Amino acid sequence: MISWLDKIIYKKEIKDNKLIVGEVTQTKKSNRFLICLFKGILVYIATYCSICGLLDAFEIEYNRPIIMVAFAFFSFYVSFLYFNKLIFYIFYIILFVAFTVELARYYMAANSGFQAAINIIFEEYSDYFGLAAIREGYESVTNRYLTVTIAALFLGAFTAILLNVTISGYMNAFETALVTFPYIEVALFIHKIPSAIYLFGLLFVYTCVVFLQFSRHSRMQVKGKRTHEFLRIKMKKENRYAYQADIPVFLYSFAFSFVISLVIIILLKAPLNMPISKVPGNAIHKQTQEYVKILVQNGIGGFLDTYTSTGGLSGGRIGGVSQVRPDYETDLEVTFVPINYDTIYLKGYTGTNYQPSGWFPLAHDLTYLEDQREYDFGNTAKIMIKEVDADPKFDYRPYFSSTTDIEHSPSDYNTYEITYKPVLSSADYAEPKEDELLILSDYYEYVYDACLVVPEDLKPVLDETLKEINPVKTDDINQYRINCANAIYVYFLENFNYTMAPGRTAYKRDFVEYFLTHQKRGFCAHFASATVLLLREMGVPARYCEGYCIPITLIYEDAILTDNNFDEWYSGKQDIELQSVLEVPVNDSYAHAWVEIYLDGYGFVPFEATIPSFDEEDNDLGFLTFNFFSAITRNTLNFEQFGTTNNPNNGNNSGFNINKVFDIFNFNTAGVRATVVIIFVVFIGAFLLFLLTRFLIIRIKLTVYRKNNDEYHLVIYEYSKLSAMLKRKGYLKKDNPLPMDVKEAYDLYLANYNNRHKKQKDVDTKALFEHYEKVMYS
Amino acid sequence: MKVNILTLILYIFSIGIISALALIYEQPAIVLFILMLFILIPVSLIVFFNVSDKFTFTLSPVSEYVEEPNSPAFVLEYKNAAPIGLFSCDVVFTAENNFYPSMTKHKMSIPLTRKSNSFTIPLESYDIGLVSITIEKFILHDYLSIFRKEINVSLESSVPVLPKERNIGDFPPAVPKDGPDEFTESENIGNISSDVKEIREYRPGDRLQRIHWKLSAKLDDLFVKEMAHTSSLAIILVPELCRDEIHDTAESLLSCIKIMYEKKERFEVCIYNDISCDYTFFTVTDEAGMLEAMTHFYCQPLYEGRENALNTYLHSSGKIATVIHIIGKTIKISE
Repeated sequence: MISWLDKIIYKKEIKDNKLIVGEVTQTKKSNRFLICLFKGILVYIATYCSICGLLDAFEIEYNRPIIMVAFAFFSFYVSFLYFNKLIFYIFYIILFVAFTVELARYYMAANSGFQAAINIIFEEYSDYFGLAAIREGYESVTNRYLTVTIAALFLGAFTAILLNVTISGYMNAFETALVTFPYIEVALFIHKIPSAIYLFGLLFVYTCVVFLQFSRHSRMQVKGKRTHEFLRIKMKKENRYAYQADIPVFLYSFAFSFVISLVIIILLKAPLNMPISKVPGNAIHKQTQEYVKILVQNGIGGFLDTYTSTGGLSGGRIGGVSQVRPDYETDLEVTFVPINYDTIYLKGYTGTNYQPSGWFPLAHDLTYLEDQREYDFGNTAKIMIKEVDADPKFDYRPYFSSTTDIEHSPSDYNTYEITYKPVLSSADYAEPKEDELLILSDYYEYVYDACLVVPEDLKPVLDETLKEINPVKTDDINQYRINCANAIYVYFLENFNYTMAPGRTAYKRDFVEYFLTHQKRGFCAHFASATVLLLREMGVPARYCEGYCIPITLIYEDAILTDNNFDEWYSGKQDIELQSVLEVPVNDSYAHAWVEIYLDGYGFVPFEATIPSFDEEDNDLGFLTFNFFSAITRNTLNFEQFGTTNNPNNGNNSGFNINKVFDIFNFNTAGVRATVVIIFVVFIGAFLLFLLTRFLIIRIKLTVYRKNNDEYHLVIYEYSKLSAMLKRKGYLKKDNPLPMDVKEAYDLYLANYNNRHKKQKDVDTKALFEHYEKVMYS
Repeated sequence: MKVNILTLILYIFSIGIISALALIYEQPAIVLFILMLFILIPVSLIVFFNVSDKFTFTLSPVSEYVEEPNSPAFVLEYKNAAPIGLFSCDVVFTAENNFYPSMTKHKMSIPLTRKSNSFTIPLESYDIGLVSITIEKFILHDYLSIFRKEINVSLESSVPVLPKERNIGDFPPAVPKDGPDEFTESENIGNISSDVKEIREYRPGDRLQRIHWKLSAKLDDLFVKEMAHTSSLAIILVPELCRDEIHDTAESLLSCIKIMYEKKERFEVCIYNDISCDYTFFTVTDEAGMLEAMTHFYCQPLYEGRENALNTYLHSSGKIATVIHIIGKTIKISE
């Protein structure tokens, strides 16, 4: 007999032709056993060869015997789920519950193992691509041999479940390749060839699955009848049926696949390592590599946000950036002579006018007057800047240089030399003298008017914040201004956090207002912008700057010695034993934003407003330990109280907080998420188990009732079922209906049913309910 | 030999995609998988060429007839003369109940992997009739389903689906074996009583009404009349193939036949053909005869009238017999 569902599907044939193709239930249990076994072998080979092939290609150590045994167990467990319907439903639930529980138990080790494998793979990728930095996951358990084995076990179980669907369920070669090939491709992409045995295994599985897929006799239905092997598909003009799951088909496929795979592997073993000649102008490969680099450096999160800062200059644009993700491509190539251990700042942009969308220069910008200022500290230096990928809108100049000193290369406009007069230390800095520019009324207005402007709607927020900021009072106006900046910095240090991924500013909210009141975390643009406005509200002329910084660590790590004549590039004293002309590649992670404060007699001097990240990994990066503009600030401006803790997190690199950017991978965050998922899964599992138990209990009880001829309980069951059905269909409204109510409702239901279906459903309700009443109430 | 264009395109497309990936991403290892796909085609084709003409097929019903509510089934058997088999063969067939013609084509896929094997083609019947199956062709596929070979055949087989026997009470009705007297009087069937075949001596058990009193008086011994129809007495079942009541008629006919041959009654079934206005007699003495009669009954055209068969029989048949007219659930003795 065909199922009730098929009867609905073939209703027309049944009505018109009184004949349909029926059902075959002929497969023996032993055949099902063998087919499950064959499929289990395929799942096992595919799982083992893909995961262990990947691990071996990257020489990641793990416990091979345990993995082999465990993968075999997983594979045969999942393939035998298709043995029959009961096993399918019960053991699938058990599998998922066990998987979830074990994952919860060994989460820390599994996560660490996963991170360890990722870290090793990313290191290889980093070497292959020559990347400056990679995403590095946190390993809470350091025993990689153990953790990688545990992670591989979970990954193997998960892969086996997927493969069981693609192989046992659908027998689809494409889907099987989709599940397994990415593992191997991770190695192949950077030309790491796994051992031939893994490639042979995968080839064998793919070939076998191709044969079995096209054979159309490899599937076993499990959701229909227990031995339902006869697949029926209703088409428009013809009906199709297929005998499924034929043992010889498997034997033939295995034999053919083995021979073919062996021949291919033997033939192609030698040329495997031969590089294919590069395709000229292969844009797809290059683009893919770019994406891979983003993945290696920023993780999956790197692809999610469509509007991100890549770490270069934003040109004063703020807000809307949820996180900064440098691409670590070189933006500038700077050739110069280092004279001390201080960071060199190359300013590119100055913003005076604050708008909700960012910092802008004034319409009649007077900064050009500053650019023409002459300095002389007894040192003369030359710096050559080549703009490789930096925004060409700006010139990047060190402090103490003027625009008149810029000399562009005749052959390349983006390469220019600047002669400047760097200050070596604060002791060399001359006593303040009258700023001749202030004589110009326009410039005076610029400093004491434009650089003190605060939007009216922001004043309440700024004033509220300033209540918690108490600068040390002093009569020295310059010192007071510095004290104000320091107080703001301390306030941020105590109450705010540095992060590269603060999230974007909420819709229709001001960037600074949102940062001060809600976010309380951010990167350099946040701290610089807020500091400028707070300073202005305190009466200190200030403005916002962007540019690049070159910390000493970058010089030590990446600088290349050039054969330029030292004397042509620098004359004067040095505080560093590096008497060479160096070329330093500066990538976009060294882009930065800072504050300039106007000090009488000195003009606008830079102030580092960005607080450091206190993450260990950030501090380990090393280049955070410089002290900004120490030549001025260390002594004269009393910055030393912050010492090395006054880390500017300069550029976006210095504050590159891996764990915060990738907090999706962070154990603590994910731990909370995993707990929620586990609770949810356990709840759903418990609910399903409850339904199943209820269903089984009812069936068992009915069987017992029938066996014992317990008419009372059987009638009660039937009566309850009927009442529930009538209630569900809306015929029965009462909560505790009497049999006469149920009868009335049932009569109505039958009348409607017969009317609707134009046929007679003859039920003697009177007799039926008399019987019910008699049994129930007698 | 034909090519499944879609599969071939899909296959070539897969090879193309993988080749493009290997080329774009400069990965020689992917060549393995391309080679795998390339090798599969000739392997499959060579086997297919050598094996595809080595199969022979036969079709037969599982049982000679089935009785409602059971359904008929047929067995398709193949023999393979080649050392290896093929994975897939589509069997294109039509199946219909002759009372309910169908145009639906069915395609059943079977593996041909053994030296010989048989497959059941199960049907599910929802009414009586002659259920027949006709296999039109076999489509053999190679291992990758890229190439196919169609073998046109005409294998036919049929099985009558008989109705379930119904309780029709005391049947046949009390027809006198040796005299028309009560029969004639009670049922008033013609003037058969006048046809005296012979007169013989009285034997114990002869009915008084049959005694030829005049002759007995003359010859001073008891003589009885042997009527002409008594010696050739037959019961003729005349079923009507009325379209609206065919199921009930078949059910009644089957029930009558079964009861009568089990009681070893002498009877014939008269099956009428409404198109040729002809009829055929079947003498049923066993199950085979019953099956033959029922099969013939199923094969006749249906009509709307309710007494076509009876009228034709009565007007044209020279047989002198008890006619039992069957239409729907009504079984009545007729003239």
